[in-house]
Amino acid sequence: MSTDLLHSEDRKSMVREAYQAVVSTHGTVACKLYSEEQLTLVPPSARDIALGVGNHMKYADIRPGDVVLDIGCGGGIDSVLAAHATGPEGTVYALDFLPEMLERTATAADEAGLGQVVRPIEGEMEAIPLPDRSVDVIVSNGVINLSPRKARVFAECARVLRPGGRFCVSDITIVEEQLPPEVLVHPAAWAG
Amino acid sequence: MKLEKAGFGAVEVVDRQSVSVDDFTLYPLFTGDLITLMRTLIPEERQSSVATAVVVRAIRSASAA
Repeated sequence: MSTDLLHSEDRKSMVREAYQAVVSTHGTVACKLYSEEQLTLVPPSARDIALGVGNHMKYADIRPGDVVLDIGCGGGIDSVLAAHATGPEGTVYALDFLPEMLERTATAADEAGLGQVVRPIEGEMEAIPLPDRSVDVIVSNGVINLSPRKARVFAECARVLRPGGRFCVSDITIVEEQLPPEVLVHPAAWAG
Repeated sequence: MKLEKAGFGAVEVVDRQSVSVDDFTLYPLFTGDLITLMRTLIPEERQSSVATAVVVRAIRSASAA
């Protein structure tokens, strides 16, 4: 019998429980990270629940007609911004392993008039349910750090991206030596 | 680096922002007990920068499998 030293299922359960219980931040995170111009493009439902850690969307270089994958779409703010950039000729696959988040993203896309562009898909970032070489741009915001198998996630990103495809993500990094051991052994410190 | 091993090139960090203990209070994984632990154990002068938020860009290499 093998032992999962990465505690993959424990981590997944912890993330699931934490994010299923998410309540509105009343736009606090969104207003800190995004420009006013970007915020005018997204409905309040997506602004209020945004939990990203950066504004990679201003660097993502999404073009009209692009196929975009948003890994861990959450409340949908980046999926909606991506859909504005692709326009009706493009597609934004909004991936999340929580059905609750997919519903929120679908609602936000509908409210933004982009329901035909944003396609919510349930799945895990370690096994992206899309064909090889089917995506032009991957975006993600504060999500990949939650995976115990980051190398696997990057391999999946490389698989689904077309050659020359762009990867643009925001995420958190920590320097372990700068945090006390009591903090590092806390389950939440697995993320990082 | 994991991205390069996976088949990415032109990897670059295009933005870096310090993350404080106060910032972490907004995120669901950082429970009240963890925030209290951080405020107690991390010297006050270092609490304004306990992590870094980065934006990373990369291009999938044409030669990747």
